[in-house]
Amino acid sequence: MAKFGIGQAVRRVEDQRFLLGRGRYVDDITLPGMCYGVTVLSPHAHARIKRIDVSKAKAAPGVLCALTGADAATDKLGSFTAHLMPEDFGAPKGHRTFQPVLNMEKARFVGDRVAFVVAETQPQARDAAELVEIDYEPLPAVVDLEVAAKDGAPKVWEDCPQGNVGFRLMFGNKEATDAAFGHAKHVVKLRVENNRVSPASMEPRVAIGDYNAAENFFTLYTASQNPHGVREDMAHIFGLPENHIRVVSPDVGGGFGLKGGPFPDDALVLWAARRVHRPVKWLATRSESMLTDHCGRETVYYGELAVDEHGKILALRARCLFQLGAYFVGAALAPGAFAVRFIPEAYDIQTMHIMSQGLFTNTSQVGPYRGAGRPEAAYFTERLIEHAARTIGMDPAEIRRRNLIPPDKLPYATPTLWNYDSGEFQRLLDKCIELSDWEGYAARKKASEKRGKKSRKRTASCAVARSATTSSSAASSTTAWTCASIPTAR
Amino acid sequence: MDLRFNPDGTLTIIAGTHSHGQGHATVFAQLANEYLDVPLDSIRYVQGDTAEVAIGRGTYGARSAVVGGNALKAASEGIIAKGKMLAAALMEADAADIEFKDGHYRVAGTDKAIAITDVAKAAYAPMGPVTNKFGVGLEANGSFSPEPPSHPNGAHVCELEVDPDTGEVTVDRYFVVDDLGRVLNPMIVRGQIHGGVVQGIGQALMEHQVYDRDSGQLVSGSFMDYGMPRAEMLPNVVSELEEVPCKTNPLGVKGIGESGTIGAPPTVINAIIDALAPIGVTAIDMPATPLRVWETIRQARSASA
Repeated sequence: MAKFGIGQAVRRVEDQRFLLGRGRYVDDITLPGMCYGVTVLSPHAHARIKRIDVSKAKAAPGVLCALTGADAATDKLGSFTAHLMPEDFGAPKGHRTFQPVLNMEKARFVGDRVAFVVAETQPQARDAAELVEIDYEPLPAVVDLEVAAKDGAPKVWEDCPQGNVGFRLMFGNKEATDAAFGHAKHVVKLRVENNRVSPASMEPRVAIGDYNAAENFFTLYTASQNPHGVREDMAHIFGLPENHIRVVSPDVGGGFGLKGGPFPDDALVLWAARRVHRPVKWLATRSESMLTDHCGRETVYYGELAVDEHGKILALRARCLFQLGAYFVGAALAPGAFAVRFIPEAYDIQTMHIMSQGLFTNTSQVGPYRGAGRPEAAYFTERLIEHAARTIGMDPAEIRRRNLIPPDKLPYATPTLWNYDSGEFQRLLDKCIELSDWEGYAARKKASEKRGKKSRKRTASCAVARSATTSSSAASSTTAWTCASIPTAR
Repeated sequence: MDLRFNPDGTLTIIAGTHSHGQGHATVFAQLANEYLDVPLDSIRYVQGDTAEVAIGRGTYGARSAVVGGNALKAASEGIIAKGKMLAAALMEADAADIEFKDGHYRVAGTDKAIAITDVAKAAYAPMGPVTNKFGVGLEANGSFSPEPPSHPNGAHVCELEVDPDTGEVTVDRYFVVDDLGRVLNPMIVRGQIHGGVVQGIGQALMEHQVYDRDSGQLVSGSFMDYGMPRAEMLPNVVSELEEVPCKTNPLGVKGIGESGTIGAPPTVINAIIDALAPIGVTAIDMPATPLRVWETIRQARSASA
């Protein structure tokens, strides 16, 4: 029998279906009697909600129900919160927040969910959503990370004991680091910003809620990377045992971390389905995705590197501001922690002092996004080392070579509590440099400049960067989704 | 991860991971083919339904090859062990004398053999010789806890051109050497690397979710304002796979799903700084849009003038 086992480039068995447009995504599902829900989103970054009047929306053509946070309170729905808190790992206690399915007191970012309107058709629901009357009292807002970190910045959570600080983490040894910086030949400093990005999955978030009253049983069709995790959270929201909820996540058009956990919209379709006794579908437009999806990456680092005369790194100092957005929910701590824990990358740096703060702002929540903290850390360290090379006049590849963990130091424990089991970092760097025809660069640069003289002036350049990264499965998966006893505000 | 033979001898993989583009239906079938030697086209892959999957933690954090792959290996071993007892009963031999190879149980030193698919059929046969003794069905589940985790790593090199008149950056050569431990499917892995690098270049050059500092309004609220990378802007990504086996899981695999997005942003930005260093530029933030590059060039030139 011909083997199609490990190591073979077997062609994807899925592709026949996908390439012919025969995938089955949530939006391809239509249930009998299905109606459509639309969320009403806050147009204010920060505002007190003084009054919500849904009477005109309810009277609009085709409307089946218009729900608010007050209705959610009446129906005793729970709220969303963080699966991981720093205190679970012995770090200083973080500020736990609760995100209701609909807000009735305050809106904390542009796009915060305030009402949910369900109608026979999606256009009817959209028209009716515009008839929901809400009196907002705008409050001072903060969206900038460095501003949010300052004393006297507008507070996103009044009850947060320390300004906008949602969590604090620290690694390394301050005294040893200060001492190493004290006698270093070179000290370089760099502020590095990591831009906020949207996961922008090709398929927007989408959900269908279905309720069987006879069995008090929910079925949720949702685009999810983790259906059991969604079921667990829905069980908390609705106060139901897990065997009263089925979660189906059929074909999913990209996740990148965005669809790793549920959003309030998943609870809204289930809740509305129970209210109207019909299946309810919700599908984000691209703009609604941009407003309400969690974002990734936004961080600011202030770094310092102590280097000796041979380019050997003696110590590293970093302060990191991590964007949490308006809510500390889901697995937000995973990127928050990895953004500092991976700062050592594959470099042999034993002396370091790293401090990090997660900050609330009046922006949509931030969560894991392809890499979840590893790209932020790698970007910081690679920029800092490159900066050091340029400052001291050393070849950027050479400074890396001199500082990468040599094979005889493996297994290698970092000050940020990783233990690297294997890797041939220097060999891979050299192999990549060779692969790229490093030697031919000068000729290509010359050709590029020559071309530039004819049409436009160009400069060519090359850079090396490397990343040592880890499968997060151990660090997050075993703990992230098994906290069955998360307190939810009911 | 559950492996379940069906009454007709076909196999179903019931996965607690969740493929949303990663090609799990292919890779997990390859693993089942490797360990059990059942035909690839007799394998059905199921995921993403809590009514069918007992438990799973889904897919994120480059975990599925490590967690799902090793769990599937464990399930294969479980199914082979259970099948051995059934095969022994069917062939009237001692289980200790039976070995499993090439999809068949063989009695050592004889020509007696039975295919695992036939053992599976017998395990479901009504009033058959084995169901009374061993129960109905041939299935097993496996799990894996990746503690400590795997540490994939790699090196990136890129070359790019900067147009000083417009600030436009063209990444025209890109190379990756990744150590991902044992490679399960090189084509799928290269696709992961390629996609990740593109996502990383997107962050480095154009993607930016912007809030207005005064009003708190989202300025980049649609694809008219939020730049995404497109195929025409990108070079071919040349990747080499280096198999330095991971020592913390039996399969020796390392999670590769995120490596591209990790390596690409600093590689691209450091290259831009390298290109602009002759005019005195020492730093630039992401995204290095044409506007930002052009402004950086202007500032550097006016500072040196």
